[in-house]
Amino acid sequence: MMSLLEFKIYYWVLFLWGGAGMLFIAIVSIKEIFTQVNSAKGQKRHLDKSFKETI
Amino acid sequence: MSISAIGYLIIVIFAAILLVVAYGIHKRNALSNVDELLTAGRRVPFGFVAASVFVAWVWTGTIMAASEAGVWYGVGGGFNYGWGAIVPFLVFIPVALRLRKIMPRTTTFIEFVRERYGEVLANVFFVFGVVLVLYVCVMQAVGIAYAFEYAFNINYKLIAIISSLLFASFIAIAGLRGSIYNSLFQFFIIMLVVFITVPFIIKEIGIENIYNGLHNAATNPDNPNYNTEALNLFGPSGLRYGLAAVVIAMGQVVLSQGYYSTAAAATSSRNLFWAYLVGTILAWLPVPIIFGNVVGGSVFALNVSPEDLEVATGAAPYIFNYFLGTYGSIVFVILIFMAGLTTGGNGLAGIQAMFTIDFYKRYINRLASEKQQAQFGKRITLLFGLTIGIGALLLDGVSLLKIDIFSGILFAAPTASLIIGLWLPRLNTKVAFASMVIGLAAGLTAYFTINDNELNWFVGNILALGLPFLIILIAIPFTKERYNFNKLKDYRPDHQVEKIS
Repeated sequence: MMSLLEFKIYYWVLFLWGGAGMLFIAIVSIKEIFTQVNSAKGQKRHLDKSFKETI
Repeated sequence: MSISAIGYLIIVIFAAILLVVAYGIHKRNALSNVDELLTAGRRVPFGFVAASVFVAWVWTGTIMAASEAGVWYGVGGGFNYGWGAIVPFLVFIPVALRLRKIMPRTTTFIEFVRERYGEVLANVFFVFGVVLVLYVCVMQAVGIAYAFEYAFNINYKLIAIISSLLFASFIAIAGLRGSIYNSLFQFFIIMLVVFITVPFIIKEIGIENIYNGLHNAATNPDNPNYNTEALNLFGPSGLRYGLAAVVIAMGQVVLSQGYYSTAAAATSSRNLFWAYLVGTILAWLPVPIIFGNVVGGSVFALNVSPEDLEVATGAAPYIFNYFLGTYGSIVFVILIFMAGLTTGGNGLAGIQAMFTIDFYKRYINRLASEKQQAQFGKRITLLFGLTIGIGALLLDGVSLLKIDIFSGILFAAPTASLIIGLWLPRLNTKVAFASMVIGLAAGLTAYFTINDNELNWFVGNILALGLPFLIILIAIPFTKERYNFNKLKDYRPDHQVEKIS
């Protein structure tokens, strides 16, 4: 049977574990969103430039 | 504002957000291209895949059933639910990696089965795959409808139909990319709800009170929740529940096309591996354990018996409402709504893939263009949305736990031939087919003939999963065939696949 101390540690471990996992995914995906947005902006700029050069 | 009006407002706000996002994706991407529609062009980065896998496996049942397990088994309930439901992913990850390696241009697992075992078995797996998605999606619609009915007193039937049509329209408009973006958005909402609201509940009740409630239940025979295993992580009845969860979840993961589509969408095998590992073990696994502990523990601390909760699955909304009032009910419903929409969306993205690739061009229109194929996939998704809504209407008042246990028997039987067939060249079609039929027959026979209601479902599930593996492993030394996996490398689907890595 778990003691109160073990029970508290168990709760803390669960929250740290889940928090770390979700936070990791959140940070990486936000970074990826910015990468995609920047890449889309870059492509648009490149297309605009090529269009102007063609004209 | 009345409580029902808040419920309707939640639906309208989220429906508007989802449909605007879907329309945006539809406008920006060439969704008449089959590969773009079904695998998001195979360019989805690590974080998106991890978030998508995480939310796709957060079912309405993950929150409700893990909380229920916490009520029944104490501290071991959430723990056993969690590890039981995660083991199938430890099987699925090598399966998806192997499939990607030996057959790089495949999208659906049915394509592999067709090449490996032939048309007949492919059609059998197709039926299993479709029925599985229907079952999964109906369960989500039922879960959402129950939550809205419980919290906002809104008509069950109305919500069942609206929620099914909502996730179907989203996937029909935006395809797998829509499912993944939707998952990402909802990942953030689920994360905020879990890590802001749950600590509030713990603060309200006090961790010592939870412990004392469990301790009293474990030691005091007069306690209405008396259970000597309440503070034991590895109690025998809890472990048995975990083992049953493995069997029930195995077919739900290994035969779910949505997970194969998401795996195919990953930019590389390395990304696929880490995204599935992080999305499941690192991020998902603590969630049911936390819900089992907090909701189950709160029930013990309040000394409420399962009978007082009407049905035990009502434990989670009861606790949210008890400690956080109307705010708690709203948050809980949003959580269930998000969980159901993402899982339903992922399932329907799988249906779209199976019907577009394995059905339309093969059986309806052999000369179909990619645009026609994609169009058919979108229409069939909407049709399934409606079917799911009707299915959910029919299940009003039916025990979901019974259906879940029965589904374990039904979907576990074909997994052995799919998994072993990816590695062992000696497994032939006859043995694969026989293993499925015998496993299914044995599971159903045990379920319907064993009189002990505590034992029949357990034996049925174990037989349905274990017997096919046993049959195949015994038969393999006696088979003469040697399947040549190398030819799968040259497999070309009927649509264009641009990038493979």
